[in-house]
Amino acid sequence: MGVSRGLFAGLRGGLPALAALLGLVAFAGCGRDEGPAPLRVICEATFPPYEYRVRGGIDGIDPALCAIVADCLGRPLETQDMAFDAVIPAVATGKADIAASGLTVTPERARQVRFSQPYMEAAQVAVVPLGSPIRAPADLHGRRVGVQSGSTGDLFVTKTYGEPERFQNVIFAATAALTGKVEASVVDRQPAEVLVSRTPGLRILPEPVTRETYAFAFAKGNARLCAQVDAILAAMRRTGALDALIRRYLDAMARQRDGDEAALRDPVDTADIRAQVLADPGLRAELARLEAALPAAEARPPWWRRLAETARLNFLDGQRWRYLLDGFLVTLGVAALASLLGLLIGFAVAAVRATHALTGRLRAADALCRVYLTVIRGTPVVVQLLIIYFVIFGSQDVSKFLVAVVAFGLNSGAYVAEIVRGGILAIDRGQTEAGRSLGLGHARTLLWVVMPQALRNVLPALGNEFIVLLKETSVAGYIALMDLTKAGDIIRSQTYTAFMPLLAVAAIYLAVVSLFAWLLGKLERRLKRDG
Amino acid sequence: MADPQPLIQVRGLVKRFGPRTVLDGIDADIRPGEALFVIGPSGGGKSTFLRCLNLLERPDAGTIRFRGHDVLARGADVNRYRRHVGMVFQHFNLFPHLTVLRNITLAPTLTRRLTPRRAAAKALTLLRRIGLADKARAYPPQLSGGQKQRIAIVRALAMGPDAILFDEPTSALDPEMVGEVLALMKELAHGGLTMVVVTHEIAFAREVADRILFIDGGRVAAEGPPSAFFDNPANPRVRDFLSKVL
Ligand SMILES: Nc1ncnc2c1ncn2[C@@H]1O[C@H](COP(=O)(O)OP(=O)(O)OP(=O)(O)O)[C@@H](O)[C@H]1O
Ligand SMILES: [Mg+2]
Repeated sequence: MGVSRGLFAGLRGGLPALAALLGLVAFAGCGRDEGPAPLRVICEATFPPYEYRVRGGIDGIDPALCAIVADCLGRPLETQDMAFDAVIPAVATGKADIAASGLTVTPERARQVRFSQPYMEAAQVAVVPLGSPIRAPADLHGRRVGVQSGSTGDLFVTKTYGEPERFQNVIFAATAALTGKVEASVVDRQPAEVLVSRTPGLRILPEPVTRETYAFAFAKGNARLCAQVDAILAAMRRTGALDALIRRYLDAMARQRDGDEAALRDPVDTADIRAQVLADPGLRAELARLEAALPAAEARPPWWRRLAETARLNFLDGQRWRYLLDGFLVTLGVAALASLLGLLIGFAVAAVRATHALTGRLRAADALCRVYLTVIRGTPVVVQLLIIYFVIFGSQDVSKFLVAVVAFGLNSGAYVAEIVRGGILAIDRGQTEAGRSLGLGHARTLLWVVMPQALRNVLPALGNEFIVLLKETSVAGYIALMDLTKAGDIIRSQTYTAFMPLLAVAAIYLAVVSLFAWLLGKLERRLKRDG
Repeated sequence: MADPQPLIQVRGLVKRFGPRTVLDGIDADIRPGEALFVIGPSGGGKSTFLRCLNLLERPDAGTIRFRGHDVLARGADVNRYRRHVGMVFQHFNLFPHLTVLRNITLAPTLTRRLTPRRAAAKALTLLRRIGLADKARAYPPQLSGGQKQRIAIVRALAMGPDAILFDEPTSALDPEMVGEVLALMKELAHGGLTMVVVTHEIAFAREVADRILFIDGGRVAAEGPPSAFFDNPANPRVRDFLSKVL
C-alpha cells in the first residue's frame, strides 16, 4: 500500500488515466490519515476540446481546469473516463467529486446535481449530409434526428422535435447522418466541427439548434467544493487566465483542423497558467475561508424518502415506465425471432458439418461453415451488430429491429451449430449404420434417425442459448434500437439517477430469465423421466 | 459344385485400417437361399468382412458383385444395393425415439418401397409371426434384449431383402434370451432366406449352416459343409480353434 501510494504520487503529473487506475487501487487500501484525499474527477473523454485522449492520458479544457482546482486545494488529482450517461449519476451518488465532461446546464440536471458557475458558452448544432433539404433547425420537425444518448442535444430534440435516434457517442450519431440512417444529427458544436472537417459529405447548419452554458457538476450536498471551484473560476476570469486556457485548446483544435495531426495527440502545455493561478494570494485566502466556513457535506433526507422520490421521478413522471414496457417488448421480440433464425442457421450448419465429418462430402460448404463459425465466435457480438448496421446495411434504409434480429440470429446460429453438431456426434454410430443399412441415404438417416435424437439431447443446451441470447441483445442500444437496456439508459439520461432504472432493468431481465430457466428445468426433468 | 450365378460374389477383397491389413484377399460366393456361417478367432476380420459386404466399410481392393453387378463401381447406387442386403447388428441398433412399428415401417415408407398403410400391415404381420404384435406401440428402451433383436431382424425383413447379414446377433444377449433369437433365425433359414451369419455359437452353426467360412488373419483359411468342417478338419488352425471353443 505504501508502494502503490508512492507510485501514484510519481505518476501524478504525466499519466492521468493510468494514475486514475492506480489511484483507485491505492485508494481502496489507503488509511485516512495519509495525506489529503484525492480529487476524483470523471468525464467521457471523446469530446474535444473539452476532454479527449492524448498520448499518456486524458487532456482538454475540463481536465486542465480540474488540475488547477486540485493544485489550489492541495489534493492529488484522479481522472476517470466513463460512459457519458453515467457521469451525472456517478457524481450525484458521491462516486466522484467533480463531473467535468462538457456538461450543459439544464433544469433536469440541476435537480440531480449542483452546478458551478458556467465556464464556457457553447451551442448544439445540426449535422446534415451535403445536399440535405434541411437548411435550418426549424426544418428538423418531423425528421429522423440522431443524437448522443443523454446529451443536451438528446434532451432538447426530445422536447422540441420528438423522439430521436439515440447513439452511443457523437461519432456514431454523425456516421448515421452520413449513411442516411438519420436525416440529421444534433451534437455539440466543437466536436461536430472536428468530425465534419474529417468527414467529407457532411456539413453543419450555420444557425445553432440551441445555445447553452457549460459548468462543472457536484453532488447536491457538496456545497463547499462547489463554492471553492466557483472562487477559482471567478479569480481566473478576473485575471484572464480562464480565457487564456480555453484559447489554447481552441487553437490546438484549429491547428488540428488545418491538418496538424499532432495538435491533439500530445497534452497542451498549461503549466504557466497553473502557476499563475496558484500564485494568486487573494484566491488562496478565499479558499481557506471557504474551507473553514462550509461543512464538508450536508445531511441528506432519510433513505426511504429519497427512494420513493427517485422511484416517482424515474417511473411515474412523464410516464417513463412506458420506455421500460416498450423496451421489454423489443427485447423479447428480437430475442425470440433471432433465436428462431439462429436455430435455422445452426441446424443447417450442423448438418453440413456432420455430413462432412461422417462422409467427407460437402468439403466446400464445410469450409464455408468453418469460416462463419470462426468469425462469429471470434468477434464480440456488439462489433458484429455495428458492422451489420453500418457496413452491410449501411446505405439501405432497413428497420433497426430487423438488423438486430439478423445480427443476433447470425450470432446465435454459430453457437446453436456447435451445440447441435456436438449432439449429432454424440449419437451412437450404430444408429447411422442401422439407417444406412436399411437403404436410407445419408440425408434421410440424418433427418429421421439422428437429428430427432440429437435434438432431444441438446434441448436444454438450446434453452440455455436462448437465455444467453436474451441477455446479449442488451447491446442493441448501440444501433439506437430501444431495447430494455436502452430504455433504462434513456430514463437514466433524463433523470440522472444512477441505480434505480438500472436495477429495474436488471430485475426484469432476471424475472424473464428465471421464468425461462424454470420452464427449462421442468422440460429437462420430463425428458429425463421419459428416458 | 459352384453355382453358375451366386447372389453375391466376392473376389480379392482387401481392407486396411491405416497400416493394418485386416482383410487380405477374401474370395467368397454367397449362393441364393443358403445360410453361410462365418466363424474364426477374434480379431480375424469377420465383422469387417460383413461390413464390407454391406459397404459400411469401403474395401481398398477387390470386387463385390451382386447378381453380377459391380456394387463398388463408380456411380453404383449404394442405397439401392443395401435395400437388397439387410443387416442385423450385435447391439440391435433400434431407433430409440421411434415406436417398434415405426422402427419397422420407417425405411420401407421413406424409400417408397411400400405405402404407409401396406408397410404397417406388413410390419404387424411380421410382429405377429414373432409374437410381439402387442409391442407395436412400445418404444425400444421398454423391451428386453431378445425382443429388441427379434424386432431388429423383422425391421431388416420388412425391406424384403434378398439376403440378411448377421453380426454376432446373440452375443450381447443374456443367456436365457439367446434361444428365442436363434429360433427365429433358424426359421428364416429353413424358409429359404439367404443369410450370412457371423457367430460364436458353434452348435448353432453346426445345426443350421449350409456352409462354413473360416476366416483367420484376414484370409479364408478353410471352407466347406459343416459336417466336413467340424468332424474332419484338415486345417490345423481350424482344429486348434475348435478345440478351444468346443
Ligand atoms: N474401424 C477400425 N479401425 C481400426 N481398426 C479396426 C477397425 N475395425 C476393426 N479394426 C481391427 O481390425 C481387426 C479385425 O476386426 P473385426 O472386428 O473384423 O474382427 P472379428 O473377426 O469380427 O473379431 P470378433 O470376433 O472379436 O468380433 C481387429 O484387429 C480390429 O481391431
Ligand atoms: Mg466381430
